[in-house]
Amino acid sequence: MTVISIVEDEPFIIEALRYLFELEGWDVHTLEDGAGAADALLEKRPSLIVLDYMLPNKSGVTVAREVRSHPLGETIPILMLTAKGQSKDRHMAHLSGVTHFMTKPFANAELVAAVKTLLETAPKTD
Amino acid sequence: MAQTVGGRIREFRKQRGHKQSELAAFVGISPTYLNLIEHDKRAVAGKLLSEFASILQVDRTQLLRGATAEVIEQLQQAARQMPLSDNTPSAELDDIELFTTRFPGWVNVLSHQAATQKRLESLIEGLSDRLSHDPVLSETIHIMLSNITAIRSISELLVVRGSMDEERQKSFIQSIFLESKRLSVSAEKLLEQFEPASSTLSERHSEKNQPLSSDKYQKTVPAAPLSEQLKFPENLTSSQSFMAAQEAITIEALKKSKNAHHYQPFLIADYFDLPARAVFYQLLCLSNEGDLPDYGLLEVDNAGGVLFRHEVSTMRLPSRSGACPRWPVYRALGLTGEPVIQKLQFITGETYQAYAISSARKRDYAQLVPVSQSVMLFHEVAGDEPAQLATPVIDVGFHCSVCRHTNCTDRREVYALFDE
Repeated sequence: MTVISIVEDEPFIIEALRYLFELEGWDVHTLEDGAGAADALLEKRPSLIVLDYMLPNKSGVTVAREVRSHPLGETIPILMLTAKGQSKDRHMAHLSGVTHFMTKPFANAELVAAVKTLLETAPKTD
Repeated sequence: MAQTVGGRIREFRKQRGHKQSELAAFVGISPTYLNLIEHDKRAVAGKLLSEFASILQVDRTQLLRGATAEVIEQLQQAARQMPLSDNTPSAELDDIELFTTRFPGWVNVLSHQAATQKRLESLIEGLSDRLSHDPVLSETIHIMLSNITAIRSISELLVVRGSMDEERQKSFIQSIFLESKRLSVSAEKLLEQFEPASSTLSERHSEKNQPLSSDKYQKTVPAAPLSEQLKFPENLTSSQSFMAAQEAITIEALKKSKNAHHYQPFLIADYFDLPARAVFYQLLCLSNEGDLPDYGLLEVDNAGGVLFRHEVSTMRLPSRSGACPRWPVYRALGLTGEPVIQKLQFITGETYQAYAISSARKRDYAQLVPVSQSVMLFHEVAGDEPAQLATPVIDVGFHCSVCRHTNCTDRREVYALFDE
């Protein structure tokens, strides 16, 4: 079963993404705060993480770094969504282990296509 | 000295003891034609002007000097800024001197336009800088883009996914309504950012403190020392301690003594026996040289008003006042003369090593009002780099109104941009 974790503090974006992903037949798990997000993600071990850059209490970059620093989180694809599209932000996201970076606003089809590609190319785990 | 090119040729000719006929023969023109040139009845430029300069043993610019040379430089600069195109002819740079002498009125028009363009470019640069570095503005735009994303995503679902059940459709329409209300609030906050600002002292400082960042400008003007470019506070530049720091603290001197201070700013001040404030500003001048990092600096008075600021990379500084109360520059205000060293961890992921210290600025003996200043020197470090001297790592933000540390106990105002 494909499980997508969405870490995003904007409730209406969560609402839209949840519906969009469920239409694709994926299970959706959501988190709204950066604090404690890494632990929750490592416990859930989703197929893919959609992660916002700017989160309350801890940035998405830090969450990504924490996930990547744990053996269980090494191979989970992380798609970062952000309104911060400067090259510096992309560079920082890349250094933190983010797999793909997408700037807001985006088209739904574009996001779904990116998620499908990441799921197909992700290393297979047990 | 004569005001025209022809007049200056005439003067130099007489100084060198040449007759008109002799000089005319040397450059290969008739004496009559030379006479017309000397009386500004004919323009002179290009190769002929070079020959006059060579024979009269003066530099071409001496013949063209004054307003003419300045105007030529302006025109050359304007020509360089013209985009290259296959369809439009480029400026005839070889004939520029001829053009300036023959059409002074048109030259004035072009010169005025070039100056206007330069002024507008400078204005745009300032606005662009503000968009990049103003934390409130940056956060407001971020919120607006999130609002827009939500509206776009939900409306796209409504349009594209036609088979949605009625209850879901109603829910989505309600979400669009609420999100568009939030977008209106964000847009109003953005508008507030562009309202005319008052002309405060700190603002004038901040405007002056913008580095000369235009590439075009830097190409034509030799780079002044950083201390002049940034217009450091007057009570610093006129102080003996800063002059002593400039003289003593050089890259070579720092290298030689690095085992004594390991490039730690307070230890450098101790080693050179100079006040930390003067040392901080001198280190700012030496940014990126030798083993030194790219330093930023913020100085405030004891009301938190910005006296001087110089930003680096992502560390956004207030232009007037009101940054994060946890910054060491404010903590140092209560610890006059005591060094404060802290590693700053921003929620956005950046980490900085910061050093701060405060000192007396001036004392009003009549009213017994001590005014102090606090200066903070900082540079970016890798997030996993150990803190120096076992100094604490503190979580900080840029400004409470845009800070997402919602659990912060030092918060002085709510996170306004999400406040419904």
